[in-house]
This record gives sequence, C-alpha cells and structure tokens, in this order.
Amino acid sequence: MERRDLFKIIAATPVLEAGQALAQHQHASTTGPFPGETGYKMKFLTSAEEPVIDRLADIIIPADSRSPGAHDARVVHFIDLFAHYGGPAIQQRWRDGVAAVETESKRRHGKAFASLDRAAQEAIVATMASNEGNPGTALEHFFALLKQRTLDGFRYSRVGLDAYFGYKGDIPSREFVGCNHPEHQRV
Amino acid sequence: MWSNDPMAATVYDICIVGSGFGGGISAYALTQLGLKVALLEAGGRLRAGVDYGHHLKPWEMLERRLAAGFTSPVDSAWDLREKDHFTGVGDRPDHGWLKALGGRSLCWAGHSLRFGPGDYKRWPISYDDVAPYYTRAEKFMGVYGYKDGLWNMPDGAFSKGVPMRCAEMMLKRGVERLKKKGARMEFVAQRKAMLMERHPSGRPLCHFCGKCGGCCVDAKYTSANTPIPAAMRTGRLTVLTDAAMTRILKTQDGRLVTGVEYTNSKGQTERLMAKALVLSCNSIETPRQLLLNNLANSSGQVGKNLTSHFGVHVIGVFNDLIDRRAPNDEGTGYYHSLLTGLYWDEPSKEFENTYQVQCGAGLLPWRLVSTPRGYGSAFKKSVYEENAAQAGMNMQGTLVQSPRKFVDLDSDKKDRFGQPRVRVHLHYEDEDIRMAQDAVNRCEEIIQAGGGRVVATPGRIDASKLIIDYNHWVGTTRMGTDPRTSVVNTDGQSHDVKNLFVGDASVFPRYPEKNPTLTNVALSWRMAERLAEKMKRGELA
Repeated sequence: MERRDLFKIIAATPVLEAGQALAQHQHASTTGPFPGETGYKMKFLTSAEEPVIDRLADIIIPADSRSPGAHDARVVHFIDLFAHYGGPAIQQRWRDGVAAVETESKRRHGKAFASLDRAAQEAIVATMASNEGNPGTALEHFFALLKQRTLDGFRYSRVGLDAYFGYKGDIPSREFVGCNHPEHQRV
Repeated sequence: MWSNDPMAATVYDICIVGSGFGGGISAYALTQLGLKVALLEAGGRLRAGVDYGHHLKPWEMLERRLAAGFTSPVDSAWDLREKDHFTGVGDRPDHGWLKALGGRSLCWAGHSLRFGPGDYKRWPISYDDVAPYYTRAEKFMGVYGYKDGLWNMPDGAFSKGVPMRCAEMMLKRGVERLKKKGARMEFVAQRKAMLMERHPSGRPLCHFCGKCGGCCVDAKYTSANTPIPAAMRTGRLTVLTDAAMTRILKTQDGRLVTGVEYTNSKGQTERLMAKALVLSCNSIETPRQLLLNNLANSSGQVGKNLTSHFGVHVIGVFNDLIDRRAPNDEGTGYYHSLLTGLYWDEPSKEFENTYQVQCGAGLLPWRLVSTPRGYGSAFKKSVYEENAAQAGMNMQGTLVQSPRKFVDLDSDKKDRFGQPRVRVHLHYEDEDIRMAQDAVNRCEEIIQAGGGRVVATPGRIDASKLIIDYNHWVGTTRMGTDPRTSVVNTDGQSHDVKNLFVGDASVFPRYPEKNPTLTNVALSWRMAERLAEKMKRGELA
C-alpha cells in the first residue's frame, strides 16, 4: 500500500479527528524521475565519471546478506545531485577526486579504474581509507567526501530506507507504542 | 478580520506587535474580555502542509531541498527563519526569528514544562501567582504528559502521555542505578503541546510522523492555529500581516504611547492608533524596539540581563539493542525523555544555575547520529547497529547573567528601513563552562551506568564547543518591583509608560533550565488580563 493511500484512509477515520486537515494536506508537486529511479538524467557527473563513482560507492556500501548495496540503490544519482547543487568548489572536489583515483589506477595497473577487476578496485579504496580521520593525500581527502555522500545517498534512497533500515516511520499512526519490553524496564 | 488596510479612523483598545506565543495568547485573552484588538505581524501567513511540512519521500524531496540551499531532505518551518537581522558579538551568538503569523510557534518542538516553586524564589511573583495560568495554558494548548510528582516541575492538566523508546529506557536505567548510589536527579517522559486526545480547538490528533518542526496538520499548538483563530471568531480582532512596525507613536510629553507606525506589504507607511500597546516581538526585538524609540528605559535595564539556554551533545550506544529491527521510532520528535531534578535541592558550588538534559533515541535515517569508521560490509553493519541502539543526550543549561551578555543597537548596520540592527553580545563565563563540563561528565556516567558506551562526546569543554540555543533568549525587559532596576512591573506593564506592556519571554527576571514557552504563554495571558482590568478601571489613560 502506498503511503498516500494510508493518509487517505486515516483521513476518513473519525476517531483520528484528522480527516479534514489530512484531506486538505496537499503534497507539494514534484516531477521525476527522481534519483534512484530509471530515467534519472545525470546533471553533473560525466559518462566517464559515473561508473567510477558508482563502483566506489558500492565498495563503501556493498550488497550483502543484509541488503542490496549502493549500486542497487543508485547512490550515484544522489551524489550527482549533491555535486550539482554543491557549487563550484564542491564540484571541483568531485572532479579532482575522480581524477586522483584514475591517476592511481593508471599508476598501479596502467588502465582506467572502471576496467579493473573488483579486487584491484577495492585495493585502491583501501589506500584511500587508510588514514580516515587524519587524511593527508588527495585520495584520502576524497574518501571522506565520498564516504559521507555515499551514506547520505544510501539512507535517502528507497533501497536504503526500505531494504537496509527497514524503516517504518513517516506514516500516520494512531498511537506511539514506545518501549514495551519488560527486560528494558528493569533496573 | 484580515486586513492590510485598517480603518484609519479606528482607535483600537489594544495594539499587539508580534504574533508568536505571547502575542497570540494576548490577542485571545484580550478579545475574550471584550476589547478591540489589532495584531501586527511583520511576516505573512504560512500554511501547515503547504508552505512547510511535507511527507514526500526523501528521494522525492532531495533535489528541491538542495536547490533551496538545504542539505536535509526533511523540511521544517525553521527553514524559513530570518538569519541576517542581527549582529553577533563574541562567542557565536545566534537568534531565531520566523517572520510569519504565529512566529516561532510554527516551528517549536512543543516542550511544555512548568517552572517550579523553587524557580520562582528568585522572581518578584510566586509559583502560586502563575499556577492557575499554567493550568489554563496547558488545557488551551493541549499539553500531553505523565504525572511525575516532581516538586520543582509540577504536574499539570495533561492529556495522555507519550512513552519513551527502548534506548531512552536504558538511560533511565542508568539514572536509577546512580540514584541508588545517592545521585539526585530524575528521568521522566517529555511533556509537549501536541494533541493526543480530542481538543476544543478542533485541531487534529498527532499522527506521530516525527516532523514536529513543521507539523503538517496543526496537531502541534501554534499561535496561528489556536488562539488567533479563536480571537478572530469574537469579531474583535484585526490581524495585519506583512506589517512591520517602524516607530512607536507617543504623546508629546512622552508619558503615553498612542499607536504605531508601520510599513505595509506595498512599502507604504501607515499609522494605527490604540489606547494601549503590547510588545510581543521576542527577547531580542522587543528591547531593540524600546531602544530605537527611546522608551521605557529609565532603569537602563532594557537589553540587559540577557540569558538563554546552551548546551552540548553526548551520544551513547547500548549493545542490548543493536540487533533490534526498527519499529516506527518517529513519535513526537527526537526527544521523548528528560533528565531533570539536577541541583534543585542542593545547588552546585561550581555554578549558580542548573541544567536539564533532553534525551532521544531511535533509528531515524534522516538523523543518523553515528558514522563509524571503515567501509564495506563491516561499516554497513555498524551504521545500522549504532544508530538502532543510540541514545542522544542534549544538555540544556542556563547561562549565567553577566554584564558581557546583552543586546544593544548596531550603529553601523541598518535594516531595510534604515534603522540600526540589533547586536547580540554573548561571552561564555567560566561558570558556564564548568556547568557544561558537569553535564558532559554526568551524561557519560549515565550512559555507562545504563550499560552503554559513549560514542560521541565533546570531552574537555571550552567555549568553542558550546552551542547556544537561538530560540530561548530571555531577560532583556525584566520584571521587578523596583523601577530603578527593572523595565516592567509584575503585571508586565512598563514602569515608565503606563499603557505600554510587554508580552513575551523578555520579562523573565531569572531563568531556570526549563523550556520557556509554557511560562511565556501563562505570563502573557496573565499580563493581558491585568491590562484589561487596568483599562476598564481607567488606569491607562
């Protein structure tokens, strides 16, 4: 069931006394396709940069037994938006970051990052992450930006929200249950 | 009626400037008592669920939010606040001002705590003077809560309470264990002005979406959804929106005010005449207006005695909860619980005031509190576990009042009407820093006593780590019985200009750790009744 349908149902429920207000509650109009959806058109990342970011994000948040990962969530779309609206300085960091990854890839293997096998790509990410919290090199600085925006994109995506977090909020509820575990009540 | 063109010949009984918590309830109380009231609001009208408060999914909302300069996909009425209306001096002061009908009541978090008898010991009025207005305000606003029986945060007229989340129960466990060792503090559920039961206002019930900063259905009390509509129904209220006061009009001898001059939405200057004036602009703008108009300041106290709440954050993770599958944790905003009762019975020797700690928890994807190190599946696992099992503790302490905290006029920077902007001076004192350190140490101790581990803490405190609460400023037109040391009397009436009243939190002479709004509403209601009585007795002419 769609969330909007839930709102309509609750709106018609007298006990909530929310009917009129919720019925009048107009959701702001938007136009898709939205990030994460088929048909999303890249605004900033080039066709060469997109697969690099897509793979880097997927190494940071991979698919595993818990849930699909950043590639399945199309986190690269979200990163494209963050970069597009981030202004020139942020855009340059993305551009320079991808260039640094490509330079490292060519130094190690003589070819582009996207053409490496996953193990080789993961080895580059390991280098990028080696001084997290105290970055020194261009790759290390880029990792901090990449990781934060990968997590942001993932948590704002349908895959992240539903499959990973199992998020059940942001729907109208009649009550808030709170903690009902007797073991948590004990001192 | 709604108007941008008040009848020029009309002399209102009362003109109220500002439609936030104080102005809204004043308009309600005064019109109920039969008086003809004009309410001036510098901003326009914002509609819940239309101008703010949306339930779009984050991927649907993100681009429009980024395009508007925000990073979160969740919108709030807060996003519409003014940011460039003041000059900050010192330790990063900030001020929240939402120019809109209802003011900051549109975006407040709803916390509604009574000040207690101990807090009023340093006021010129007692708890018993205000208690009846607290009860009225709680009923009128629709405050929920549990009866906790705390002597210095008295219970009120509550509708049914909202329970805590699992990790908050872990904090409560920590508090109870420390109390057994002699610690004096309490851990209780929050009290907020959000509807849990049917209410005479007709506002809908809360639906627990957690986006209370921009409640989309008006379940949360605002001045715009409860007192102002009720006042309108009397037929005695005229609301003027987009009407920015530019001058207070006075008699030639300056003994009385006669009305206000304001600029309307077309940029035209208008006049509105009234027999009495209530300033409910907020604790920064009300003193600015008095200073600009050289009014009500024979004491020299206008703009002085400034204080607010400030704080730091500490976050803990409880391993007992890391495997939990998330239920709907949203509720009524992040904070469902409160650490309180600190230093009520035995004041600290290190600092004069005290603090409370607002506590929250829950797996809230828009509000991740922990970003673990690393990457890959281990990182992914940690993100879930730490955020599912986290509890956040947000200290809310009272700044000590000092000569280095005050409001004055900025002669260098002007507003759009060519008038000096306001300057806010904030310099943390050693005492403030000692209090914050005490709070950090205590929060860490509670998390550990509850079986958790601290994952984020400011550690050793210095002024750079303190966060000012930009909504909670008070004190700048303090009440008192001595005209030499206070701006208004215990009725909120200017000592100097007898038909000028203040109806906002700037009248607070001292400030406890508790949130200001309920007391602001109660005191403004009381002020309005006193004003009406004095007017009917002919004492204001």
